[in-house]
Amino acid sequence: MNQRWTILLGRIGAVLVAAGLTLVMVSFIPPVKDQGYSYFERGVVVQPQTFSVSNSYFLSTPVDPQHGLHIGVYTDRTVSIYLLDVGRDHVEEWVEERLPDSQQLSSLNASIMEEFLTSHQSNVAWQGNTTNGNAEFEYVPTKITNTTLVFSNVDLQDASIDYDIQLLRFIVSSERASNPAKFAIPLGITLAVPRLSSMIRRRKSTVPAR
Amino acid sequence: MVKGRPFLEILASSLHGDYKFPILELLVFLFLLSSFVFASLGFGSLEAPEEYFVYHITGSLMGMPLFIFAMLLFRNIASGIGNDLEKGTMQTILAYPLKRRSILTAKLISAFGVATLVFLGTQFSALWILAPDMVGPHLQVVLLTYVEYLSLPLLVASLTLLLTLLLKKGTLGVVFGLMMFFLFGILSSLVSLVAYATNSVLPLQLYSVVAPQVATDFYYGSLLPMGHVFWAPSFSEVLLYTGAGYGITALILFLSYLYFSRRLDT
Repeated sequence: MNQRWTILLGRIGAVLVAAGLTLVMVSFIPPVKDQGYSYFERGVVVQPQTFSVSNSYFLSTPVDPQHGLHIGVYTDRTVSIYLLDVGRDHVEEWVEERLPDSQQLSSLNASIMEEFLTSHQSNVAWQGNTTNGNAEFEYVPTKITNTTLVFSNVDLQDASIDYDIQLLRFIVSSERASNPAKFAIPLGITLAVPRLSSMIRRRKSTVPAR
Repeated sequence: MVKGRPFLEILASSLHGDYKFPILELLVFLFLLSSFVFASLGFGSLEAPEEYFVYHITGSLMGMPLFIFAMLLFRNIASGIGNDLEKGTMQTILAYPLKRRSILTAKLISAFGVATLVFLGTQFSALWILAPDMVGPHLQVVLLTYVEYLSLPLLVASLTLLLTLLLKKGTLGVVFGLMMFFLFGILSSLVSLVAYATNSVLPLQLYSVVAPQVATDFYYGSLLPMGHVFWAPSFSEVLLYTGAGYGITALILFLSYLYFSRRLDT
């Protein structure tokens, strides 16, 4: 290969490695739990086969790619949890359109919420179940968005739910930073190999024999 | 000699001079790191169109990297062209079987082109990593933001180039570039103060000719659902100011080419 091309590819490779290492470094910076921005609620009762939309005013503040949420849910039953990337008012409006007589979202019929979730699948940012009565997860949005937390009691008895929400401050989400680095570093090294080998060969040839 | 080879020779030598190992790698590191660290995405409400947020997020990622980028441009002009003139190396370069304007083009591709490419590459990557769901649907807003924010540094860099050619001194050129850049920063605050004090948008309009970012700021600010907006330029006005800003930069570059091709005496 032409020496100039080897040098050019080598530099592009070195740049990719530098970018990849920067991303790896950034991905190691842990998020900070903002103690000033936290919310908890105890003893939320969800009747069997019903849904409940969290009443947290805290969630009406938009989150963004540098401000995520750490959510912990603790209950004695098996509960399905949905975090939606739309505001509570959006859910309320949607329900009101279908059930003009409904009074509140606190204990919705399962079928109406299932219908909502089916028609808003792209808005389900996270979903999971409590295992051994607990569930903890982190959510880092990819845009600026409001959020809504929905609990579904799939059990046949009342579920009493405690939950807490904490704001997380990120420089960048660890996963999102490390993913491109996984491609950039190997590609960069591959591009830089011909340049490195030619440098080593040249150095060997210029070292005088003893 | 193969046609085009001298041009590539000069370009390669300029690139080697401007971006000695590991300058380019360190720049990528600084651009990426400062993009993430200095980004400011906290918004209290979503009562605005998404374009407004995309514009401000893209702009917030550029704060410190744009300053580093401007410094890099001034340094490249000073060391790449100014020092060649000062030390007499330019005489050797002018001996290449190449038109003078091609020589300057090769130098500028290295000084401006590669720096801009690296800057935009790292900025876009950082933005994509941070907020992919905002960048994808609003690519035109992202591109417009880059065009607006780059206008002033490129204008000052063109002025620095012209002055470096006139004075034939690299150090003076870079000092002038830095001073101009800070002066425009101060001017930006002063213009706003005068505009609000006199209750006239004329100072803002005049300043937007050289710094179209000001008009764009007001344009996106006017999208907020608030009562009184001091200045609400239309989108076509924003484009007009942008065109004017880049027109001035192009004119200064044209004068630099003219001087380099016809008048420069090494």
